[in-house]
Amino acid sequence: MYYGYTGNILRVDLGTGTVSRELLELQMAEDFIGGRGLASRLLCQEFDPAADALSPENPLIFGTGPLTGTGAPATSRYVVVCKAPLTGTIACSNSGGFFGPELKFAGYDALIIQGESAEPVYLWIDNRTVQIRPAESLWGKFPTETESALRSLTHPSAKVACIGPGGENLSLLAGVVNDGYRLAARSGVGALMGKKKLKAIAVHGTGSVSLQDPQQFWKAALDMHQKITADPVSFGSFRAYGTASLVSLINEMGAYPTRNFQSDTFEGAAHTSGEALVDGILQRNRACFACPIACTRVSEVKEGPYQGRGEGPEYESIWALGALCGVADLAAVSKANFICGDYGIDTISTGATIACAMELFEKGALPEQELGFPLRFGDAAALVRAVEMTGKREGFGDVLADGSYRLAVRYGHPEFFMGAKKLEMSAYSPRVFQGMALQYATSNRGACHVRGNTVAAELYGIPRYLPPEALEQKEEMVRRPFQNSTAFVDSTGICLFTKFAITHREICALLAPATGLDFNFDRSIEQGDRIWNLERMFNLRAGFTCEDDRLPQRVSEPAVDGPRAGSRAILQEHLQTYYLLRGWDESGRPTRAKLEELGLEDWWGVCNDA
Amino acid sequence: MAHHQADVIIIGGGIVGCTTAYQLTRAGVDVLLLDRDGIGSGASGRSGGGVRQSARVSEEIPLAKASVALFPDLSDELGVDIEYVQAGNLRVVESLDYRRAMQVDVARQQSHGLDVSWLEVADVLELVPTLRWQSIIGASYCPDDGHCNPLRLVTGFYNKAIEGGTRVLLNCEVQNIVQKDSGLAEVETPAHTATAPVVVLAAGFGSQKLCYQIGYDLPLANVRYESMITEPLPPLFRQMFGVASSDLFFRQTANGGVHFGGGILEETGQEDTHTTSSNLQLAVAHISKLVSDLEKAKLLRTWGGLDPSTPDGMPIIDFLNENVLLASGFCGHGLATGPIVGQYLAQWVQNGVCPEALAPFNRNRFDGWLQTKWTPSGSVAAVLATEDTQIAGAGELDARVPFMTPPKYEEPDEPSGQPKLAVNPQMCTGCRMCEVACSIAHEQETAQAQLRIQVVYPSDDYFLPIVCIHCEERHCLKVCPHEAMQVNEQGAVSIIRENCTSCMECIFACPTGGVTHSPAKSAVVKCDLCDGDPACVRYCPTEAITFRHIDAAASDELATLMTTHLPSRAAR
Repeated sequence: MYYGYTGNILRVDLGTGTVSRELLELQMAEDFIGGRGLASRLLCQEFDPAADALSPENPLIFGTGPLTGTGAPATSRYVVVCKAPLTGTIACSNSGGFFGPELKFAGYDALIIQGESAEPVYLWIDNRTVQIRPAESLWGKFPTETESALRSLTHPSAKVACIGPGGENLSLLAGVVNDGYRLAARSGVGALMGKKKLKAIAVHGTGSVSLQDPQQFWKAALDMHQKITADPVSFGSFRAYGTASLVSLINEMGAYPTRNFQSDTFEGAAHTSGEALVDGILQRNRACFACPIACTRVSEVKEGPYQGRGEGPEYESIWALGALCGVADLAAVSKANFICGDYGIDTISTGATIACAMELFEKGALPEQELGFPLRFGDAAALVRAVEMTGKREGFGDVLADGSYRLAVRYGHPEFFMGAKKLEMSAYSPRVFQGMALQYATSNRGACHVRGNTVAAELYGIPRYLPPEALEQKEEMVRRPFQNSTAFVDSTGICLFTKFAITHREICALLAPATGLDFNFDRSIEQGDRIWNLERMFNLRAGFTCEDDRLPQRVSEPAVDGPRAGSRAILQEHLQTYYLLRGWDESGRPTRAKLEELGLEDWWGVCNDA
Repeated sequence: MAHHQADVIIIGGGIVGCTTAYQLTRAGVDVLLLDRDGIGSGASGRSGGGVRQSARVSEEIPLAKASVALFPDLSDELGVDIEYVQAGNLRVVESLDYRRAMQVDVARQQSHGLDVSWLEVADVLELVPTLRWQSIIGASYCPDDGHCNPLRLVTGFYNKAIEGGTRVLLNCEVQNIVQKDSGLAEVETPAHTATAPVVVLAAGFGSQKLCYQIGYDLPLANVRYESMITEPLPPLFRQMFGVASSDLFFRQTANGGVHFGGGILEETGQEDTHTTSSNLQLAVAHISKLVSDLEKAKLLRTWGGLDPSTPDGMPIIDFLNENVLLASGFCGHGLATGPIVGQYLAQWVQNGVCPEALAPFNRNRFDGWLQTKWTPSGSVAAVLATEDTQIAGAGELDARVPFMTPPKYEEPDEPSGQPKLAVNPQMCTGCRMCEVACSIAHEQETAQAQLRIQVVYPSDDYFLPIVCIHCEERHCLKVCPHEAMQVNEQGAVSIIRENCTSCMECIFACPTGGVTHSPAKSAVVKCDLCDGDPACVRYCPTEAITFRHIDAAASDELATLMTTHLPSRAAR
């Protein structure tokens, strides 16, 4: 009997059209929890990291955590794991909504999709009945259209994860879209789904998530609920202003990267802030499954040239499609965000790629005849046009759809790529946040903000305040309370946004009564460390080295203006300390002792032969 | 044993089979039509003759509209007078209990662009002076509806299909449909075999047996009703009539006879078409209450009508395998929708793509249903119980309030009675925590299949939980035949599980969706107010559900809110 877990892993081979069910090994669940950890572990057993990301062998794994769908606060998350088409690293994209819980209600902890279909198909999972069905009629449809079409083809309340036209045309910016608007966005996981010709997965579940000790679980859930609703960040600002509440805060700190990281302050931030969003386009807020925060914005631009409707824009989207491109028009930014949603492409990478193109154009490296129109910083109309072309792979959009790294290299200026491991950085300047600098450089999926968002400590003082410019203790902070902890949280199925209000202790207080397994605080630290190291080993085997733990030269140069003029990212100094603390050698490879400590010793040979 | 080959084999010479044969032959397809008896010998020929768009479930309205648009030209097209009269359809309400339900239903239909309105009794009488005012509360009225002669309609299509080259085998019962290795389907009858790439299975209730052999359990009940016609009478009315609270229908035919039917609908396991005198008397007594001076008219002829009915009152139109296209279970709506369904089926057969208009009728919509009981289609109660009553612009019912405003239900000045649940959609974020809390409180697990409370999403910015509003009327308690319901200390109706037989009478009786069936528990479940401390209220992060004294006006408003947004049973 499984508790918390459903105990089933569904395996679908699109090449042969076969569907099978496997049982979850409890030992693996105890070591890797679920979600990000379990799916990464499954990926490693299925696939050689050295192989090509767009090969049929690369499986697309959907994973839920043991808490997903239990109904404790914010337990809505599922992950999409594979080798990333954009970066070549391990990919783990995470999304909320209602799709993840529905997978659990249908009876599955994880879903492994292997092989490739010759024709467009969708997967229809109705509890124990699983069918691979033709999807010609869905091909080319936007996610919202796909969802409503699938609901009439399957079940009126089916939950749908799908790709937009971006995934179909193998855009390396494409994500997986669920519940119409929500994206498991980064690393190009949608391109792999498109390569597999899998348009969508529709799920309908009428089962339940059993709990080992419901009384104890319920008590812990109520306790967590009270902590979250009392928290000024999670429940206060995220609820009122969404993630966009950060725009004003970060910009005022002088840590809001602008015009492809050429500056760290944006003069137009007030026009695109969370407050402006609430005053201008917000219709109402909306929640994911069992979430008291309800940070989702349902918004609509009703007038002017940029009319549209959808969810968001979120903080990072406002930044990438706004400040990073120099655009201060909320309507245009929202429109660009809605278009990204329609085509199912990542707003951060899309915005960053267009910002990179803008810099290339302004500095004369990208001729106008290739673009077809001038693309200057601050040109809202050109931004919206470029986003749409990117989604369609139309004209120059064909180049943009492969992300900023390939764009910058193609036009001879790799230094204009603002990221690490081919993934674009997010909206916290590494010149200011020294923790973020180290995190961007060492993150296992490239320069992203959700593998270890040290801004919580460097701005909000959670778990304790460390000034952003301080260097002391940053290595340990990045490693333990952020990177390892995030790996743990992402594996449980709970939303990272709760972490402002709660710690591992509260999560373990849920995990233990939910699953009946021995989850506790000390083990959670080890589990997070194990998952991080497994991901690192995957990347080493895929060919990455310490040379890839780098940041762009530009952020190592002092900021020229703003309240923090003169600040710069200091990386090289603490990289070695970080490796040491992690138990890695000086070239960033986990030592044999470290792997043995974590039970990953099988990987020693795999990586040292390579 | 004679063997035949064709491009398409159609099983069933009713309205759907004949229109499909006609459309396919017109397109140059080689068609073989088979019927167990004769043309129009089943539900189509026994039909009441109504050609209406009103009082349809939402999914069927587009189909009915498109079909009604074809009728004015059909006499010319078929070369036979189908006696089509487009004088409107009145759905008469006889009891106050149904008045509000009908008005809500009229609003729903209007939201689908149908020209339908609610008429008070005076307006009804102005339109039809021969009705007895004493028996009528009002009626819904759709002026574009009408009626026709069902036999002439079916045979008209049949004759045209023959003219076009359709081959026909009558008195020839299909016993099996087999998929061959060649990719073709073979149809077996006692004296013939026939092969074709596509078989259209439109045999009404007769489809069930053939489906079963293919491995599909067609959820179809056969409902028998009484049908009869009087001697020719002077003109009384030109409209088609239905009655909301029962299944009486009537119309006056071209030669003056009043064709009516109804009685007590009986579910029969077979194609039983006999008539019973007790049922005839009921139907005669009923129509005599409604129409003046009809009791003196002589009955010329009686027959048993057939309504092969599905659980949700909509047909099932879907491919069962690569070869067999099922189109059955029209629930008494086949005659009116047949002409357009024939066109769509012909398209589908030819290009292999499901026409969008037929998509809602897919067979998978019943997966996971407990098929123990369903109401025959036709009555408003059934429409409300099965209908997705989303009204476009429903937000206007409560003017849209910006998010995070205080709850709108005020405590009455002098609280009376016991506190109840109040729901405020403006505060609801759609997080479904109430569902979770309820499930854990009652079942100790997070479960989707025992929904005492369920969040629905009528649009992307309007959500609310559907839950028992603990009404004064307590319809559920009144109809329970097994003493399985009681009123608890909190004033809530709760279920005594030992006595409950899952007959689901209460589910159909409740107009607001307050009682539901849990397939997982095989039991009926409903809100019992958690001993006075409802878990949903405790756990709701936004006060979208509150536990408070509410006055009668607010209670009515809640009922309307629930009824308006009650999802179809398929969506629950």
